[in-house]
Amino acid sequence: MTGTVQGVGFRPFIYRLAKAHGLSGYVKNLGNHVEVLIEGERADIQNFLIDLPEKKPPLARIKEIKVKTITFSGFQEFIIVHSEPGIFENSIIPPDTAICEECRLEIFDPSSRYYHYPFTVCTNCGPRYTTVRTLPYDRENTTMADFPLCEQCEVEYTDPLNRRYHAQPVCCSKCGPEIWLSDSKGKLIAKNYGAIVKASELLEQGSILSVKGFGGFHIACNARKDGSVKELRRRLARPEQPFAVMAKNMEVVESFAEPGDAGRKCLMSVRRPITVLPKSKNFSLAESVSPGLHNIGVMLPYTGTQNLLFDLAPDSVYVMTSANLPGRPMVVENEEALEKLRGIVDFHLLHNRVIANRNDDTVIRVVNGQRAFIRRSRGFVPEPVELPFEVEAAAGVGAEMNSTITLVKGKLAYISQYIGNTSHVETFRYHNEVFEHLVRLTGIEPLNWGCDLHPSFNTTGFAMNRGGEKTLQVQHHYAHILALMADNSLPVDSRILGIALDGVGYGGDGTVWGGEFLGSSYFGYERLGHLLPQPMPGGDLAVKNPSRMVLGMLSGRLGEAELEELPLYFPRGKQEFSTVMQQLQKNINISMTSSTGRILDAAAALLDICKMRTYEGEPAMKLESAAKKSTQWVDLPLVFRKRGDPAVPVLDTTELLLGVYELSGGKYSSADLAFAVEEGLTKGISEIAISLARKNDFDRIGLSGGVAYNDHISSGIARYLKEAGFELLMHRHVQCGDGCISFGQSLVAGLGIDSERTR
Amino acid sequence: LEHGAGGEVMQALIGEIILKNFRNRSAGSIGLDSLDDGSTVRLENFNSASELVLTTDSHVITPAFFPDTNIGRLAVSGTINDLTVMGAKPLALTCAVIVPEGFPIHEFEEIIKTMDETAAEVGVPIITGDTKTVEKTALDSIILNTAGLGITDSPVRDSGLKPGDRLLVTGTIGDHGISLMAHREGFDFETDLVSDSAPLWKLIEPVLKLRTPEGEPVVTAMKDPTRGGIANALNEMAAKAGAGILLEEDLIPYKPAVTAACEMLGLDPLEVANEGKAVIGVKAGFEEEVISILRQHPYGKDAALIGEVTAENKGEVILRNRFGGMRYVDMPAGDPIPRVC
Ligand SMILES: [Fe+3]
Ligand SMILES: [Mg+2]
Ligand SMILES: [Zn+2]
Ligand SMILES: [Zn+2]
Repeated sequence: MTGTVQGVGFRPFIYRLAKAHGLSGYVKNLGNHVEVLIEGERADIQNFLIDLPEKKPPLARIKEIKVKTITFSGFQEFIIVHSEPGIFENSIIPPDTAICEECRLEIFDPSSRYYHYPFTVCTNCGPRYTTVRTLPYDRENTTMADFPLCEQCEVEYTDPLNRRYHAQPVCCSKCGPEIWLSDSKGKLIAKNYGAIVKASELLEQGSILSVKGFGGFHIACNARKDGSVKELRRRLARPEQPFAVMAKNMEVVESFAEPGDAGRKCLMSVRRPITVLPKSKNFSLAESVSPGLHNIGVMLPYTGTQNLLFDLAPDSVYVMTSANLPGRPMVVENEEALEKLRGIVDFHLLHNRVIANRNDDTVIRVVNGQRAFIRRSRGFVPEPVELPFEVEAAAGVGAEMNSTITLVKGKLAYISQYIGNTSHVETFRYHNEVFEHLVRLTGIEPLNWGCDLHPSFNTTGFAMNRGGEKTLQVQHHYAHILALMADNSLPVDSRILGIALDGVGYGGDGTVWGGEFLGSSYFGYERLGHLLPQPMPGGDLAVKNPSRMVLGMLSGRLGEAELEELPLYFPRGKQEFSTVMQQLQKNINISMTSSTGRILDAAAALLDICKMRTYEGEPAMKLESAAKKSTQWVDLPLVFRKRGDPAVPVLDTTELLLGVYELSGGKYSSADLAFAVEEGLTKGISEIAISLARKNDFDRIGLSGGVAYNDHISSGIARYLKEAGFELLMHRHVQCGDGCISFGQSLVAGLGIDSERTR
Repeated sequence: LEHGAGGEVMQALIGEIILKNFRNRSAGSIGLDSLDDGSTVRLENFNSASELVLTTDSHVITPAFFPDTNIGRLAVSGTINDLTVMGAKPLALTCAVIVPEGFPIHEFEEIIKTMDETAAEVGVPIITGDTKTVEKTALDSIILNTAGLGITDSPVRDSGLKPGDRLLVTGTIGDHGISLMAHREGFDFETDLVSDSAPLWKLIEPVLKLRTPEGEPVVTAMKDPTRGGIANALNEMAAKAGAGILLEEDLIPYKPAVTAACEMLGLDPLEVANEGKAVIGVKAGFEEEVISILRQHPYGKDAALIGEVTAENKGEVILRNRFGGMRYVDMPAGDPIPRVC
């Protein structure tokens, strides 16, 4: 058998299955596949083969089963053959998964020795990656080494017929980790199940708690109490950023959100990601949980503690946001929680199992009917992504925001958990730690290093320091498209027209890109088209305040008096308005950008949907939410131009925004116009893509970048392309946003391409 | 060559072309290789621990007149300050002028008078010089070069920071760069912000005399944060010392007009030029005393503690905000490039 059949409890499963069917023989791990020999009655063997794919462990994925009949040799029993040395039996670390149904039933069963014990696990469930300190993956190399097995646990751990056979985190209330509740200063309030009961009461009353989980801390509060949520916002100084929530089961989720089939499947998966769902019409949670958005991030309980909490308050919904400042590493240690969450939480629900690997919740959104990773972390990391071709050992170190690290070798790519914004000192240090850890766990020593082109990124410096001459700078949007190609298993000689739509990335010509059409292969790219470069008055300040983009985009077309009348916002009022106007006239601290994100931001500001960006993507996300409410179709002017030498097609985004300006205040609502801007971009981008693909003989077109999370834009491009006879490739296993950059970089490094055409 | 190339580009030019080709580059304990604000000259035949300090600086600035002064004050102050931050008492200055034909004579005279007034503030004579005129087409404004000679018995190097030292600044940051930009580009920031250009010898002199009970100088390192602002100065100091610098954002003094202008233009005030300020490293425990001495002088009335030197984060400058969040203060590299995605 090949596939994901190692490190997922596969051999004990085969053992138990064979026993159940009265078969003898053996199961043996051969590194890249598992060999099973079975002897017995024909009917039993057939039933065994039927049960095999149906009853397999939750994380196992069987790619292929080759069945061969051989001479009978007369095995007396069924055995697990221990691997020969050299076979990396214990080198595969599974991701963390939700507590399984059998364990869950045990913690609610008064007659079980696991009754009310939150750390109950078995071969099929529980924390894995977050516990691993080093390899091989044996208990003594995990954070469970601090908890020697008691006699009873030892028996279960060593019995191949037991569900807990060789499950490294096995433990019970006698020998395992403990949970307790403390006040904000660390003073003990209650222990064991009593701590969970008390925590539940506090949450119901409106307190704000920290809750330690598998890969870090959550901050929890009651999502039905507007006062609690607002208080949490005040304490975190996070006025608008949406909070994820957790609810007991699908029934409760359906009381405030509309999961749909794809959403339901995501939510209920054993990997338990946060799934971003549309709010339902009778949305019953506090409005402050995800203000100004049509959707909300939801997850189901995955730890024992969470299950016990929701058992006590079955109808409740709790905010469960990771305990960190935006872009900084989440809190993982008890002492750290007491210190860093001082003034933020009232109580701490702590435990004494150390977290070896920080791992944020994975976030998924259904886009164009498919699963799109906003963040790929807990439940998925460190599962490798399979490459369509072989590469040398290499590293990709990421961009800056939403960073990840990727190590590749052979046909496997190991993409790290979510790291965060590496411009922050703490996050950059964490980035470096994750790198060391990933090298240790995969044994991959990079020969080449891929990094961004941006000269000021800390990650660029990191790669240069480590890699020296072996460092290859990869253009940001090309890295997006490379990641997309490999994500779709395109073979090494493939060509694709890549559409990369995002915030900003440093371009090959020294300007800032973000709305790009890149004719790409694994060996280089050509910029075949883009959005019209627009001025960013004040550089990054124009990201924080999209009103500045509006002035930049329209100042060539409207007079100062007309611009002054626009419903824009400047923190320093009229004086700032004049300053920006002068900045534009005199070209002071102006960068030019072809970014798509900035156009969406500008539209959000012009339509009075979002003034200041208080979290990543806010204006564009609110624009999308507003557009959902549109009732009338409006066509905005699509103007295409030619720019550069050789001349390439360019979509004139000023004309789009001007169209919005001319129609606003009339019979169309801001929702109608929000929809129209998205639709105009979608149509304009699709038209350029189709004509470029036809002209340059591309039969594949793909989409990457953070704007691809916009369902209207992604689905729209897919639809326009389909009408023209093209299928749109989107991401499947890795993020559309900058989480995929390290993956793309690692491919250039892995193929060892040092070329002008990749920069 | 790029015009106005700063930071890393200029470093490369100096390292790869100038230092490589000058073969004899040292006359005392501090030579050209130190790339300090000046270098020292040993007095071979004297029985003295003292060394001379020599420095030179050329000044081009458009326009030559700006609020509240002109290029003359900038040139004299710049050279006096280069001597001052080497810990040297200024002894004498030179004045070389390159001026395009047609430059108004009365403006020329005003510049010369300003040079005289500035030098008189610290009692330094201007003792030699040179004047050239060039064709109108070769130059659009005046160029001044001033060299300075000073003397010290314990030169202060910009590499002298040690972990634990405290970092001070002698006043508000960014005044010169912002006032000049406002004047040159016609920004109306509704303020009376003026260039801080000033000779600092009298301000710094009393601080240089301070000794610890063990007899060591209290001042460990000094630099004048001109082009590239304190971001550039501190990065150089951290790199040369092989130590880290941790700045506290809330402690750094700014004039409200500078904060406002930077917030409206998207500039980092740490990267804005100063012409009458010094960053000073002092031994821990002496910061209060040094600040109180500095504050007695008009040029030091806003002197403040801004951070400290750390053993970790070697060669890096980190800015910590009031919430404890930390970011790197990079070496300025030309124009800032947007990075927020
Ligand atoms: Fe990107
Ligand atoms: Mg100098
Ligand atoms: Zn289980
Ligand atoms: Zn036990």
